[in-house]
Amino acid sequence: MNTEPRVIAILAILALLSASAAHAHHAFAPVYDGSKTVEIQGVVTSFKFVNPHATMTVDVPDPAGNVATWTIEFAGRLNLVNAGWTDDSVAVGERIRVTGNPTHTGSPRLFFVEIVRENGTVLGGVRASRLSALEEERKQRIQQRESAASKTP
Amino acid sequence: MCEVGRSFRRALQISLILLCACTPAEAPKPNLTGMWSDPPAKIADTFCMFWCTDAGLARLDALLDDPASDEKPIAALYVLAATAQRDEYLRPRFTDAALQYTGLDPADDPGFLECEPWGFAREIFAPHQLKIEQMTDRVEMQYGEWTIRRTIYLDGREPASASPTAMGHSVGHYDGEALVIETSSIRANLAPWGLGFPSPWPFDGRHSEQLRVQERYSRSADGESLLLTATMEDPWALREPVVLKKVWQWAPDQEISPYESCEKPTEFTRGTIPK
Repeated sequence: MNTEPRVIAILAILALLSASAAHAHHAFAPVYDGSKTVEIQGVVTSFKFVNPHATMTVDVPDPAGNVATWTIEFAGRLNLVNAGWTDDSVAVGERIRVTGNPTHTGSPRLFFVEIVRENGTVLGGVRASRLSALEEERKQRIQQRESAASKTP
Repeated sequence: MCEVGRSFRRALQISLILLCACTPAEAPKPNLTGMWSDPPAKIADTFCMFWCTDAGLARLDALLDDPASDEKPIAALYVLAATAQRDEYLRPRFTDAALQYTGLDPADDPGFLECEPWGFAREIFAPHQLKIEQMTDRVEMQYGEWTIRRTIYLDGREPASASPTAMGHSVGHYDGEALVIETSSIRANLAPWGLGFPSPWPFDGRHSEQLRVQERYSRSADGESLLLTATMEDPWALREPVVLKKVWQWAPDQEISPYESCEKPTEFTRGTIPK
């Protein structure tokens, strides 16, 4: 698999996993476009680690110095604890880079995909760790099949 | 020891022997008590995070064994398997009446629009935590999603009211290593077909008050997973019973946190799901 299809594959499953995570209580598709991702940078002004969806607000300055407040919607606390998140995972005042799915209307709102802190550490959702495990299991299964085929006379 | 003491001791021994002989041995039952949560990060278990069918699992297995699938992302295989279980297993079992109600736009889901908690048919397939507490006369269950609680009576009692309720009336018994629950008197509501991993959109639907569900819960051989086989019967919606499966993972460190911050959406678009 070359790089481009792999990127598409990862985006596809992230979109599907986003949809599934959100579908449990709030529909994802009516609000967010899972086929696109957007990146913003700013300062965290609030983080609510609640159900059914954790939310965060981030002040994002533009080149002219105007500040827009973006809302980041996450899966719920019920889901995020599976990825090791706690109330203190993100602090108010912290500078972060957020990647997320944009809304259909282009409003300042994203569905969380990934956060990168100023020190470079990455905060992912439960889907990222699950995806990694699934890909590993699949790789092993393909290897086993190919190994069995090579032994067949 | 004096004669009175010997007589007393003998009487006590006889009483204990009689007591043991008269008390029926308690039937063995599985220990399901504790906290369960999302399934292990395995391909098949993840496919069953909400619900799955044997037909869907068989198709997923065939796709994974097919070298022609190796270049496809696993998400694409999930979609193919989910589509197969929808079109080859579920759809042929639907009545004409039920087919008229498939295709609910997720923007019109009352759980989304109105923060209305799910009814029984969806809630038993809800993701995340499921807490089980087994008692002598009943089993208590609580789901992380919506923090909904339900009671399963083990004494076979009749419902307190003739009116159907959101979570219905459940009675249960133990069958070997399984807890078997029969639920009826369920208020007509959305069916679970539209939930899935991934959801086989657009294919939601409804069930009627005639819905009856048998749930069979047991632990996996290694004890680390909780397996549900749910047989659903509804003469209004289904030509024949539908069997759905689900998997949870033992999660003793997890808790069910409050579910009190549901906000009705301020922006949404209809018609965004793939047709």
